[in-house]
Amino acid sequence: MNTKFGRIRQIVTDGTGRAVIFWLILMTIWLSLQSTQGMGVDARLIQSYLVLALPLIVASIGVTLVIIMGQFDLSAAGVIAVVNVTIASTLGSWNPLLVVVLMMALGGFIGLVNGLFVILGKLPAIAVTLATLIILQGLAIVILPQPSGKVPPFLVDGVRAPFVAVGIIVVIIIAWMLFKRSRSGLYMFAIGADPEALHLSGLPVKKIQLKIFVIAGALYGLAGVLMSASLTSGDANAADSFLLTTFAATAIGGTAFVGGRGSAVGTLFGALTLLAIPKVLFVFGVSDWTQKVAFGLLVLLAVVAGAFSSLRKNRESMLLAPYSTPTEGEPITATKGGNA
Amino acid sequence: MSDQSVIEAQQRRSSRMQTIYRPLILAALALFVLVAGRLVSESLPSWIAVQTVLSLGMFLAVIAFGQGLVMLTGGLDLSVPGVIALSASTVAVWVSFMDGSLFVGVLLALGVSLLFGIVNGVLVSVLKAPAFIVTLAMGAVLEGFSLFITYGRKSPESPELLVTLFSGSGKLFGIGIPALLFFVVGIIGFIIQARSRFGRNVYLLGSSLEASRIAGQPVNFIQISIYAVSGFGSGLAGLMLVGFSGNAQLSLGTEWLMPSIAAVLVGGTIIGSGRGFWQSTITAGLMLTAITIVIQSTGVSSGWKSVLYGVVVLVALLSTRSDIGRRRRKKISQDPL
Repeated sequence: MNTKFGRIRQIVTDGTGRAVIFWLILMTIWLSLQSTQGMGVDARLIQSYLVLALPLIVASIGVTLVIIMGQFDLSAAGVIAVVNVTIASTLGSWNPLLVVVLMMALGGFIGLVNGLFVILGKLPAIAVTLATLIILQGLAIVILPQPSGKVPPFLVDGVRAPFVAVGIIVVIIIAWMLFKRSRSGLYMFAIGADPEALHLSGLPVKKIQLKIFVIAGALYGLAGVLMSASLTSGDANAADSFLLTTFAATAIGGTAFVGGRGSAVGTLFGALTLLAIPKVLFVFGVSDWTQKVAFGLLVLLAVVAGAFSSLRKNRESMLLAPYSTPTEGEPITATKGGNA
Repeated sequence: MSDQSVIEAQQRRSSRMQTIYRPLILAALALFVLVAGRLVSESLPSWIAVQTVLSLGMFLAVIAFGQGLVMLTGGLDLSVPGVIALSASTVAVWVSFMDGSLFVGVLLALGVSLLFGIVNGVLVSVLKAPAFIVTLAMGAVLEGFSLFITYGRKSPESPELLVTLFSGSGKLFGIGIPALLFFVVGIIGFIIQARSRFGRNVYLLGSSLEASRIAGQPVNFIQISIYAVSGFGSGLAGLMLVGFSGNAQLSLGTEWLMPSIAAVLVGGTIIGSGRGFWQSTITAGLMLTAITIVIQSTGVSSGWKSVLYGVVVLVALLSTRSDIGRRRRKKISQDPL
């Protein structure tokens, strides 16, 4: 096979590449149908779509970081709910910048608690974060029993201003590129691939794991602020869907649930894809229940495809290099693609 | 030689801690919560409250059985609300809109629940997809299907027989039928989980998938049956809840998911360790139900219930951890080598 074909195969087998292709296809269908049906396509349409997607993108990236590290974190929906009701019930007239910092600190603190239980307490992450999820969802209902309240107007207008959403997305991509190559980023991948080896080589594994939990928590806090801005009011149950959608976005983005492999950019496009699905179904005019079924089936499909490809990759890498611990990306398949 | 017998005695004591003392402590705590409920409500403790705890605890036990098996092998079944909604709306729509017989309706409902349990199991075991996200997505699909079945109709009435059986209006020896069924469910669950070949295979699979495979177990088949049992249990609970609540709402199952997981965790099951006991799970379910009833009688926000559940789970997690720690330390200090 020639190298050109190898390159194409490399993009298709790469999780991020797959997510981008999937997203582009959906966007093409959505926008072309939208314009042919006379509903019109303009910048405002794209803008509102991006504003809607921002909270999911940020929260899913938090989830992705924890998964790359080889752990699970189910508490995102809880943190977002608590941040949302706190802003709507008490911080309505505060300085928006202060609100962002405070809420990210709150999220970081919750991440720290999760991390302490999981890393130092040596308890299963899935059980601990499920418990914190239940606690936080309960607290959100206690703080705001009925949907009400308002979000600082500056925050709402700020997020909806032209190019702000696009700007945030660009910042996310650049931040990921830098973080991925930073010391913490490399350790994060390495811990996910083989925590034992890293511990034996004398690295502060626990400290790095705690750090990732805190960063993820802070990202959930930020996601909560962004969701409040797009919701413009408080609702204790509005964040419930994030439990499924954050993991779905991660799966569509090609991050392996076994740890050690993954990409925040993939997750970003995973989240964008996920929110394009209802738009496409809407222009096709399908009803409420079909939408629910189609959504669930697509998530299942993405998860199964991801699990299947990582299964195959594990087999290949075991065949080729039994003792190597790949830290990032899939260099093995990449070389194999060229001479297959 | 004496070292060996000391270790054996200690292991016996520690397993007695798990199989006998823990459930007794949890049952005593459930009673204590009901008695302490006197502080917040004049009507507690009462015979009616005990019956209510047993009835609700029975529904919880039916769901928590499959959930417990799934968690022993390292998964979570988050499709519980979806399966309950589907099973409930299947039987209710079949009987009240299609004029079908209840018997066929029950078979249909249990059949679809079993089927989707099997699908969950295949996705998890054969394709190695993470259990909690597979079941979560499956739950969304099933809620969509339930919406389809009941689409455009007002929420259907429950078949009369189910209402008599499970709402507590039907009585045997002066005690509500669901409260009595609690003991039946308890015994059946104990026989399956602790005394049957299937139960032993689940424990082996939970403690080590590799060991189970090397021992020649049909690993995938066992894993699929675990999820099938969980789907079947949720479907059964859906039928019971239709009778209990009097109609088949789609949100019938949402408030049962977290309690079922919490009961398993508070009962001392450690996710994916193959360690955990049914008698602890159901008594933990009783305790959680007692807490719910006391909180509801005070009239405070339902949010506090969730907060308390989460805290109880965290405390239980820490307690199981100290068990492990003690055993490991003992093993090391007693090691003859």
